[in-house]
Amino acid sequence: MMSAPFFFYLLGFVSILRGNRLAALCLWWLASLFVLALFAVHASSVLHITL
Amino acid sequence: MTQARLIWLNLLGLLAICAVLLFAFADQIIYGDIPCPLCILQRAGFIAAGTGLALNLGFGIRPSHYATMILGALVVAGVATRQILLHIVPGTGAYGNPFLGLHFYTWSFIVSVLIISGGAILLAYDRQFVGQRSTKKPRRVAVLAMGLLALISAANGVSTVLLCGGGLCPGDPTHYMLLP
Repeated sequence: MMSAPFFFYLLGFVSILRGNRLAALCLWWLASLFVLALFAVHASSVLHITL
Repeated sequence: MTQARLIWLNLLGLLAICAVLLFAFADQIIYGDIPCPLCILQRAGFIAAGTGLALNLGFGIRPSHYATMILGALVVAGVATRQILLHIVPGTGAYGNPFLGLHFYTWSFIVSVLIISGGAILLAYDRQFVGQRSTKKPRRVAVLAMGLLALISAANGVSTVLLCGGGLCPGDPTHYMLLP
């Protein structure tokens, strides 16, 4: 699951190289939201252990 | 500053981000320094920041592309701060080998602040946004730099699959889950 953002970014680069800006931006947002969600999951689990 | 010069600065920034990611990857492969979940998220943030620069090189300079770069760097800064705070309490130890006296997550925070500052400085040049947007194809060197970052992204994706399988990575990984 944690590898998913890298593959979304990879598809984003492919879109840039193919000249599709909209697809590149959509994939960037998708990957970045994935990263934020994973960060939230990690932070909440550490918080849970600490508490 | 002319637009051509700013394009070269963007290219230089993209290559610098590639160098940071390659350094981290080399440390992982050569010295067996297995990345933790937060390290993996920081790498993803650097790639997100690099995407902004790649967009500038591919479609011409736009404020939204710089915003993309700054948002990516903010993710890196946030995750790195979290990791610094996890290890700042005396006796909690550190993660990974230090480089020039600082751990990778501290360097990561410093580099992310540099990217954010660089983005703000580049945004200050108003004239780059005036006039026709470039419809020319990106130069070959820019395409190569974008290809390199795409390759690094793929390599990190494969490495993360080998390390964590299909789920979340363990907090303190000691071995690759899918490697014997």
